[in-house]
Amino acid sequence: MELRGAKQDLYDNIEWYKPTVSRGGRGLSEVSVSVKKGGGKAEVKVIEERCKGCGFCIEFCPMHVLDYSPNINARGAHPPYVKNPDACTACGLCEQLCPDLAIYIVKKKEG
Amino acid sequence: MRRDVLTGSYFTLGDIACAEGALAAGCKYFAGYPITPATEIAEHMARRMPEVGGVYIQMEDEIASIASVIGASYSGMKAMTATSGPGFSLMQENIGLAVMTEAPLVIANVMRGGPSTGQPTKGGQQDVMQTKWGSHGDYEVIAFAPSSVQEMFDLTIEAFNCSERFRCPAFVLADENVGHLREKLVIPEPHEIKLIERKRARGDPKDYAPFRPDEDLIPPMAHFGEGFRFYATGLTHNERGLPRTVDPEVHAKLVRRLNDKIRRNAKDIIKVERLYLDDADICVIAYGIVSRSAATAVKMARGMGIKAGLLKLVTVWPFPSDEVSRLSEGIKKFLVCEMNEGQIVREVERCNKCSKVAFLPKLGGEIHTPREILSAIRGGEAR
Amino acid sequence: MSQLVHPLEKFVRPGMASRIWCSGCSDGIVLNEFLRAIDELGLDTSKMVVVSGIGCAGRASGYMNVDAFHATHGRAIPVAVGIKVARPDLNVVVISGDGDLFSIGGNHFLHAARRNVGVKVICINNFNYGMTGGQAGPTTPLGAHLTTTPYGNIENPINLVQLAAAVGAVYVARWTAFHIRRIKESIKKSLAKKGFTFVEVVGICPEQYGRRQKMPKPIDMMMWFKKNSVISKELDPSKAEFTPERIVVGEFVDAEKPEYTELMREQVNSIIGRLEKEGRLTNAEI
Repeated sequence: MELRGAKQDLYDNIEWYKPTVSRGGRGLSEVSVSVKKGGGKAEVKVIEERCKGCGFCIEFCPMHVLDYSPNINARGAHPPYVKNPDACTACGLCEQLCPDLAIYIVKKKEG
Repeated sequence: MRRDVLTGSYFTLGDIACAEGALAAGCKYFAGYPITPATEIAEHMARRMPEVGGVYIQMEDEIASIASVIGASYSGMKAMTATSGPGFSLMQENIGLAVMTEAPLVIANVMRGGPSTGQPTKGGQQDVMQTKWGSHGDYEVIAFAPSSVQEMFDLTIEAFNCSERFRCPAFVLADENVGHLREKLVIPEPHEIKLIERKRARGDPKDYAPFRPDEDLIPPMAHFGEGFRFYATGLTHNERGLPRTVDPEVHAKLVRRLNDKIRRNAKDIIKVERLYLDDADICVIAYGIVSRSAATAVKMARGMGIKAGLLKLVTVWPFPSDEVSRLSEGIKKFLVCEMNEGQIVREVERCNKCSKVAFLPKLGGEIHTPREILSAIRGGEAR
Repeated sequence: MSQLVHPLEKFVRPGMASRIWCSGCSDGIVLNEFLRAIDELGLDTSKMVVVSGIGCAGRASGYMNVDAFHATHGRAIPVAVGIKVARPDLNVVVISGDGDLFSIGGNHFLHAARRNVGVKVICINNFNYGMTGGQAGPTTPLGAHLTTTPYGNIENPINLVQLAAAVGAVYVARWTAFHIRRIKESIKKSLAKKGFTFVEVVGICPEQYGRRQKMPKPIDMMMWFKKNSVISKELDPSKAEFTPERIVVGEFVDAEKPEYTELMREQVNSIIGRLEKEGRLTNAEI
């Protein structure tokens, strides 16, 4: 009986995700998304002191609205900042994914 | 006539008297697990609880029983469980939880021979120290030792009253001999039974702090579902109930208060019965079923001209330290009779100032006979 | 101090907005989805009780502004059963971790499900005992390296969904921390359902589990869930496979069964009714 893990690494079959950003606020690679100036559907509010720097909001925003801020909060984390506000589609993923109530959106009114 | 207080005279079992006492005290929740010799309490409760509109549930083990009793107590019901030695050992962790969260509840421990599985069908008095020291941490308890079927009824009501008043677990430590004894029981009219209810939280829920004590060191209690939105935890907590585990002052203050609320009122709680103690030279100390043999022995001794007296402990915890210390100054010898290898005798030795302390144990489930105690009084074999 | 107010602020216990969990811990995500679920259902939070056990997931009850009880290790479910049976009108929820509910508390889970007491259990399964520093637990995958299995875990993990289905839970679902909206829908469904419900959320533990399995950042475990989870559309617990390569998520049981407190109430009413009709005080002999 071959013990799994004894000779073979358990996660050999899983492709490692390599994040497009690294900590320290070096920024996203340039994303070419055509957005209308002032066309963002919601305002993204960040409560900086609550952020623990997990990166979920930044990594999972489909429109790359957010990026790591170069500032550090009292917890030692780089909170997100709104880099491309016009690209926001108000999907709410950042608000839903944040474990610490540190980010939320306020939908803009129509017209 | 009311269904929860069945006024009348009966010839019944000690366990059944304990269950009827709980019902007369207003107990509406019983969770238990079958264990000899406390099974009769559970069986009787299974029949009676639905009749009084209460809840009977047989849980999967004693740990679940006591955990659910804590939950029911916090939901507003007077709750109890019944067990014996092996189950009592299982319950210790959650007894600590009941102490820390100040949940009023009653545990009936019908003691049997131990350690371990021991003698399931024979009595003992071997769980007395465990009642006080069984769980980890420092805490005070209130424990009663009934010696007759009538006392099983009365002291269960007393246990509920004490647990409600002091918001702590209270114990009824019957030995199996009393639990399985059949004797006369008189259940009084409902208006003759004095009941104490827990202090309830009042006022604005926003200002409520679940563990902020009043002058008497006991906080008013809120129940679940009343809108107080409080947090109760077994972790060291501040007055709002929030965990403050690394703060030494918060912990010291909390533990001291949990102990002081009973220590300060020990004089109200402690109950003893004295027989011929005013001019006694020898004081027999006994509790539970043994106190009945001791009473007969003391009367026989007096008949022979020996100045013997009896201090019967009705409450085993808190221990009547002041009384024993005071007595030790006037008498020559204490004779402690117990059905174990030496538990209450250690408390007597601790409080004793000037007299000698002799100990007469009896293991194996047999009760001391009056003649054995008499012969020890007369200077015969005793340790 | 910012003036920004998060939409979930109204559910936060005063003074407890800041959570002790590690950066990226999915306990926070599950808690937030729970709060959104009770918000969308419009439940009366003064009639809700949350009971939790010991561990990181068990700290969730302290952050919500509802009646909450933090019990001893493994004993959250019996406390919850006592509360539900004493007060059937209250909504009783148990939030706890995999070790608390299935190692020390396994027996209580079995019997509460068997009885079908109306307690809603949410288990955040992060494959280890996180609070105490990352020891192996009953759900640790085979071969994993944790502090008490430094040479690799040789024990088979338990499949929580199949266990819950086998002991009779009426609603059983599994999602990962990635399936945020599905978690919320499952919680809503379980709160509305009568009986014992079980929702397993496969969670992210970056500091204890992820770091030792070469997934140190929160993103790494999240991407593992995203890439290796498969949603099952059938209500079939035998399809609820769980291996590191294939995590099957979805709803697996959705049944109807009489709930324990209802049966109890019926029985009590019929007993009292019969006694009153026959003019007797008691069935018991004293």
